Amino acid sequence: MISENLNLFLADDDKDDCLFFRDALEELPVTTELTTVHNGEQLMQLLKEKIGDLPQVLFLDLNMPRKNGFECLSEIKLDEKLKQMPVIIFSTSFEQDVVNLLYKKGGQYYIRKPAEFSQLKKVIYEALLLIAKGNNSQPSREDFVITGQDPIAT
Amino acid sequence: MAKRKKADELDIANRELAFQNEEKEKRAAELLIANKELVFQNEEKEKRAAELLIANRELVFQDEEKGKRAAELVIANKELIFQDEEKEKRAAELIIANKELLFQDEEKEKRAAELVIANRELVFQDEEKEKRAAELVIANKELVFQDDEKEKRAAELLIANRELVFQNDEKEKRAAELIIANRELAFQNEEKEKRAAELSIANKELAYQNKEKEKRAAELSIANKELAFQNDQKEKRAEELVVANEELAYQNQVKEKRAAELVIANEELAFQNDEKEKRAAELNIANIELAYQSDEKEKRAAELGIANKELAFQNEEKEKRAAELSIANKELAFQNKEKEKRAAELIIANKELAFQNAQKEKRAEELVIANKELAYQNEVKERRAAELIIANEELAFQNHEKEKRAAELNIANIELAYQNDEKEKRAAELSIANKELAYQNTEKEKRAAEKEKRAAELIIANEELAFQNDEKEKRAAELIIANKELMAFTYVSSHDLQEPLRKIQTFADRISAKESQNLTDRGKEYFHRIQESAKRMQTLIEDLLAFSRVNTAERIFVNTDLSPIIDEVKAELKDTIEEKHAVIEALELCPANVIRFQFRQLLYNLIANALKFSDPHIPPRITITSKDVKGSAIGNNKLSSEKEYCHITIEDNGIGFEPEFNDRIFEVFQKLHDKEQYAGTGIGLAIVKKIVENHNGIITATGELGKGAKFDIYIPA
Repeated sequence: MISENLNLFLADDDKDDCLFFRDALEELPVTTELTTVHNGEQLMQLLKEKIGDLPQVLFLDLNMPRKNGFECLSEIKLDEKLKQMPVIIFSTSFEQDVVNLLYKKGGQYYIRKPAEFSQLKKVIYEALLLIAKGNNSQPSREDFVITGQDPIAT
Repeated sequence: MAKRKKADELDIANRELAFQNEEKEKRAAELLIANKELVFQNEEKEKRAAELLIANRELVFQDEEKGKRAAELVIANKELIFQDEEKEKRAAELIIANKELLFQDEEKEKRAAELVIANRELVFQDEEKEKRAAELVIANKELVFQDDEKEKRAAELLIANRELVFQNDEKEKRAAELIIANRELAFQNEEKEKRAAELSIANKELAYQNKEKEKRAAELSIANKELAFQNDQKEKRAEELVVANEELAYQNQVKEKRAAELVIANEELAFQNDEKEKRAAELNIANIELAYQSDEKEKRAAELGIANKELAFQNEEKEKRAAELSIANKELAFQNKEKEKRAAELIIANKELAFQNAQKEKRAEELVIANKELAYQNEVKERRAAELIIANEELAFQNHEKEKRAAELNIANIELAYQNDEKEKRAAELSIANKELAYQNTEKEKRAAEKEKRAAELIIANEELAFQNDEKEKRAAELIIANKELMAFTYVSSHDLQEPLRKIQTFADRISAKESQNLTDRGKEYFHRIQESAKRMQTLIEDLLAFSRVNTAERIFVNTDLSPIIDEVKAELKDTIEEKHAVIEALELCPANVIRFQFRQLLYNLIANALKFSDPHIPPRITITSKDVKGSAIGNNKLSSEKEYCHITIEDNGIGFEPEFNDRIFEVFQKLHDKEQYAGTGIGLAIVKKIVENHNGIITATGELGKGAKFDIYIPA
């Protein structure tokens, strides 16, 4: 149970994935307000407009036009006003090197987009539970990847 | 060409020398002749001098004047003698000179002969060199040509392979489509057969119904005829009844009239009776008066009473009968009306039946036509299905042929690769040979100044060869880059393929979860199949990615113990190990110098394979050992005999494989079992081989069907 109303950002150029994400949120026992953007430039502009009213968490896809997820993450982590906002990487690919790099760059968690919808719900719920706990310090490397296997989420 | 020119030049020089020698010989001969002439002239002069001496002496005496002259002549003679002496000296000198010349000529001839030999040698060497150069040129051209050919062939093979892959894909697609089409057709045929069977049944039923109806119609017709006959009869009867009625009515009328007459008669009789009673009374009185007359009259009255009663009874009877007849008439009229109605209904029913019969006959005809059509369609479909089956078989055969072809091409590629290797070796050898030649050339340069140019030419040729070698090395470097690019391409494409695939999976998942109530069982089954196929493709892409990663990833060697790596793999495969009651033994392991994450993958693939291909009747037992061995003890020419190697074995007691597949199983996409039996992509062992090669080692597989498989890995210790 997450009692508070969560304000979420999703940056993903893939409309289908945005749809899946929204559908998953609707079926989860949470109340959320989801804002979606479809490229890195749009994301950075919106974040700068919303300084002072930043979302509790940003779900960030890697492969986006104009400005990709890596660039966005670097920019966010270099910005004093933005760097406190937790960023959860949300990507199709799962390359150990890439995952290591994103952990080094200050990503909060890493989610590999699953193929099954039920699994998608699990990973999003697990991420939201972790965010709702309010501890936004970076976890250890072993806990960086959200698998949906965590007993609290299932 | 330069060499030929040079040879020509040398030839010309030789000829010139020969010519000069000839000239000198001629000159020497001429000089000999001139000497002889001079000798002869000297002799003549001596004779002349002697004659002159005699003449002088004669003249001394003859001419005192001439004494002076004689003295002068003496002087002249002395002079002449001196000159002669000089000439003799000169002649001697000339003789010496001639001898010298002769000697020189001999020397020159020797020299010329030597030169000729040297020239021949040179010519021979030139020829050899030209031959060698020509051979080299040809060999180079051949190499270039072979390289070109191989590149072409490789490109063609690549294209052919791609085409084959594409065609195979297309054919698989086509086959899949055909299978689907066949299934559909089969389904349609089934449906049609069902339909046809149903229609056949329906037709039979209809035919039966028609027969029944015809029977019924015939019966009805008969019934109608009967009815018509009955109607006719009834009409006749009715008419008769009408006539009878009319007669009865008439009889009634007659009877009524009669009755009325009888009533009148009765009234009259009554009146008469009254009159008679009056008269009787009167007669009574008269009887009293007339006693005899009275008796007679009383008898007569009683008789009349009886007659009257009889008449009254007859009247009553007639009235009753008339009433009955009236009722019977009414009934008959009603029955007639009913019968008319019934007849009309029957006529309508008959018309309807006739219409229905006509409809049914039409329908039956249509059905017969439809049946024929269906039968024809069935035939066409059966033919089509038969054709499709043949086409499928052909496709399967072609696929098989193509697979064979692909396998052959693969083998041809391997052979080509081997030949390329050989040629590269050959080129390397040639390069060494060239260097040797260069060395020999320099040696020859020292020995012969004339050969310098030649050597220079050879150097140029060598440089050219060296340049060509460089070009080939560049080309090889380019090929390496091209290969890397291809690897990168494989990686990126596999990576990018994942995204749309995941979408297909998620949407299919969504539909099965959310919309399943709108799907038939078949629809659900199809969705299940989509998900299964997508999952297989995902595995395939992940394996391909792993395969390309093995090629591209960073290689950091560490000297490590294998036990923890095996433990990690065991932990990862825990479920399968428990499910199959497998035992994994790791015995006497020695540390190995490995790229850790790659070696983990290698052990994972081999152990997972051993578990997958286990004998279902006995619990799997996998034995892993490793020990250091000397290269010379292994006896494989790919390994250096001086080096130390770490020999790792992984042995199982599974289903094994036929020994002829010892090498085949390491090739990409090679599978020995169909995917329904043993799931997999055929990449696992290719990855294993690649990893071993990354470790500069070799891997061999030995298998025996039903007795297990053994993998031997040798990597430098």
